[in-house]
Amino acid sequence: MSANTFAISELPASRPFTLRLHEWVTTVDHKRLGVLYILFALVFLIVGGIEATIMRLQLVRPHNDLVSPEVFNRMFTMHGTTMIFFVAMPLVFGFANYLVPLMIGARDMAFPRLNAFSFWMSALGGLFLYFSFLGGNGLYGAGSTPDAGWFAYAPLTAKTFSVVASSEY
Amino acid sequence: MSPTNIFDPASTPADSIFGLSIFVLLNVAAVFIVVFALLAYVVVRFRSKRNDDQKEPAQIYGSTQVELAWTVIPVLIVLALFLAAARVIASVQNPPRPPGALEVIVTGHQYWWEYRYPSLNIVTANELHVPLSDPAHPTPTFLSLFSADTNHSFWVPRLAGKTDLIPNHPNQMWIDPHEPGLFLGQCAQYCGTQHAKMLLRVYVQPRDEFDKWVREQQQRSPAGTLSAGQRIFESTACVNCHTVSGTPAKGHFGPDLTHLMSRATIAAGAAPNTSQMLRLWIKNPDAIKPGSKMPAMGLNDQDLDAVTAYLETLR
Amino acid sequence: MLSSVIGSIGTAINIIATILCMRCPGMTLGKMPLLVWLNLVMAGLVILAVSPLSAAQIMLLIDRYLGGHFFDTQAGGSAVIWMHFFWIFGHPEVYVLVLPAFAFASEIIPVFSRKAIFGYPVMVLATIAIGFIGMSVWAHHMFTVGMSAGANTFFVLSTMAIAVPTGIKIFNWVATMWGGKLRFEAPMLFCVAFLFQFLVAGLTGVTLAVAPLDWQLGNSYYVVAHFHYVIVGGILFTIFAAFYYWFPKAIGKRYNEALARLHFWLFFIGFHLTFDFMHVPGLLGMPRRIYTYEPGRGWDIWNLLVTVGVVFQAAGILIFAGNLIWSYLRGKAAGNDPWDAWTLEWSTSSPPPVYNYAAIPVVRSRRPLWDLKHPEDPDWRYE
Repeated sequence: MSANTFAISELPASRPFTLRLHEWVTTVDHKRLGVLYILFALVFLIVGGIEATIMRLQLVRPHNDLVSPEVFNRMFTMHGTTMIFFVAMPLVFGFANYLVPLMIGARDMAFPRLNAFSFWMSALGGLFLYFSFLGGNGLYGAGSTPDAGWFAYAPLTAKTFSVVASSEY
Repeated sequence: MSPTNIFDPASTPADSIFGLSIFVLLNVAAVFIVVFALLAYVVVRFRSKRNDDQKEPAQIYGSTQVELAWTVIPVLIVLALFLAAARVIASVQNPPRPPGALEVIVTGHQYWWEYRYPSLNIVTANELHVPLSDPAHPTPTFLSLFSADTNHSFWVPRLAGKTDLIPNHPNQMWIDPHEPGLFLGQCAQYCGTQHAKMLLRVYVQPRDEFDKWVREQQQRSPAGTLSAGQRIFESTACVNCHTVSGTPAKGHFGPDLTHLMSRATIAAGAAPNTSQMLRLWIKNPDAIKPGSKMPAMGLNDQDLDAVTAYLETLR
Repeated sequence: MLSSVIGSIGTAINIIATILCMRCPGMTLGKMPLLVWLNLVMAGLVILAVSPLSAAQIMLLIDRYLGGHFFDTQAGGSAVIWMHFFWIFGHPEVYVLVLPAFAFASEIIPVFSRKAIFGYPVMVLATIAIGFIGMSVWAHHMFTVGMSAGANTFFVLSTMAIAVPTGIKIFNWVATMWGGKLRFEAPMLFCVAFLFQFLVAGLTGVTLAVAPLDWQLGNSYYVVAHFHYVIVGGILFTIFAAFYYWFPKAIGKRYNEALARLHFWLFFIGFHLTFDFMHVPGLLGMPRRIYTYEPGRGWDIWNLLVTVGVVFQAAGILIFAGNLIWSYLRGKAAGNDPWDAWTLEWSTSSPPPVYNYAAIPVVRSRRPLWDLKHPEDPDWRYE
């Protein structure tokens, strides 16, 4: 087993930003996809943390009125959904992507393009859910984000009780 | 002392759970102490020293005996906890039903509680009255749980564990209170915007007081000349949602108001039952419980005063 | 949501195929690093668990837009069926999240104790057991829904059963540290905190597994405290450990150790302030998902303390982000193997070349680099 001591990129060191961006967006390299998953998750970690902070500030004393019940309910729904689906799972997949091929002595994952497709589908899911902040009452009323809890129990999520489109997100 | 402390039971199901919780907590605490002590010891004892000789320590790959030991002991602990739990599950879910038992039909609504006592012909809302139960001659109360809309959950910690109210899925629970007094709780399953203010008040009363309350609830409203407030109440949308027995008001969407003034609070505990709060509730419910299903009635000040005065006659 | 689900299943398929088909010569299943085993079982759980969630979401869409009544109780549908579908996904989902956390601990603790992992075969069996049993415990989220005594009792048993292999793992990690030479750089600090916190989280889980206790504590802040203890105190702490451990490899630069330790202590203090005290309001009757609460129930002081902890956690995260950025821009070169570790990734450069390895390695034991560094006492003599 030989020691690999060279890691120089074959491309010239200074490349235009657009070319670098294109490389990252079209990459199928498991290491880069791993990094993309992890960066995606870190951004949503901050967002989910802000949602949690809003909730904790509202609950700091009884009968507080920092946010309305509607906004609070959207906060706990989004906090749960964000942290599970857009922080924890991307972190798990990101580390798995980065480390598994390296640790088994492989050059990449079995299906590199499926890998890239999976990442972008996850990213799209996140963007789509957060787009919901712009619907309904608009930003300060937290839009028409879901407010039925992250487990989305029926029948609260059925049309009768959740008339606004939020559950679809 | 918190009025909703699970470690302060006042009724048989809560007592059984409390006894079990002590057993479980002792076991769990013992495990915690042992493992924490091991971890603390290891962290201190085996830290690498400054003047270390840089040799790797002896590599130990495993030990069958040790693995067996720390498999068997947890299995035994798990078995003990499981058997204790199974006993309490059986005793709480299959209780005896003595002849003195009272039945109450509880229906959860967004965001209030409806109570019907079929054997006593009583319909009320939000404040549940039950008789005190004497251990020698138990008179437990059995609650049949239904929902008119979404999922709710009935949780009064000092009286019993919680049971959910699920539409299309009737449930049953029971309480056997052996201490008189007022017991607090609230809805424990997210049911919508005002889940937080769907509060519970359970009055456990000695037999004579309970019977007196029953008699008062069974009285019908006295007939007589209509007050201005009553006329407004009966000709506005109020009657679509509320019932006042003995009058044309026969709505079922909102609480029964026949004996409204026998209750200490309104809006499922969200406000005390005073003139001022009643008037505010009718004028602008969102000021008290924003997102509740009670609409602002759009009455002018004079009409508001009249309706409030009428409601205050509903004892 | 359906979009990100497609992403999850694609990744899971990829992970399984890669692990089963692309291991280097000599690396039998019994010689894979534990991280690889744990990710394999995790990927299997993703495929099994995510499908019920997608099915339920599609049924909900049919209810909402095409006149379906699966969950529409006003028309005879069942709310309980949604819960079963959701939790058949939801419980294995938490194992999907926690198995990688175990993976990181299983790689980092040995290196920072300078000892091989204790009980590798048992760790693998325990992982598989957790994967299987984890598919059978879902209704412990539904103890208050009104299932029969028999059903409730079954789920108590299955939930308790999973505590056994999980506990075995904790004991094996501690045994790995026993007799070692512990180094407490940032990755190890986070892993030791993980051990302590995961112990507590597991034990509060055992209390909730006792269905009658769950009748009191379910849907209260005790549950919120329990699962945050697992996810933040268990999973997030090991994720921070993994960040610090593999950052030098991925970026090629060392992170700032002093900032990392500051991050650790701030976050540790904040975590405990928030989530230790959060158990108390649950024990005192406070349900979850309420935007406000009544005074006079004894909950006020605890909620205040819980909120104060947020400040420390936020500070810790800011330091973490700052450390990553600063180290990326100005960190010292890390070299191939800054931790003197034993798995294959440390044999290639930092960062690895696009093709990972110029020549595919051939391995003979679970710790190929240990064999190289200790030719007089290689692992393959003992495995």
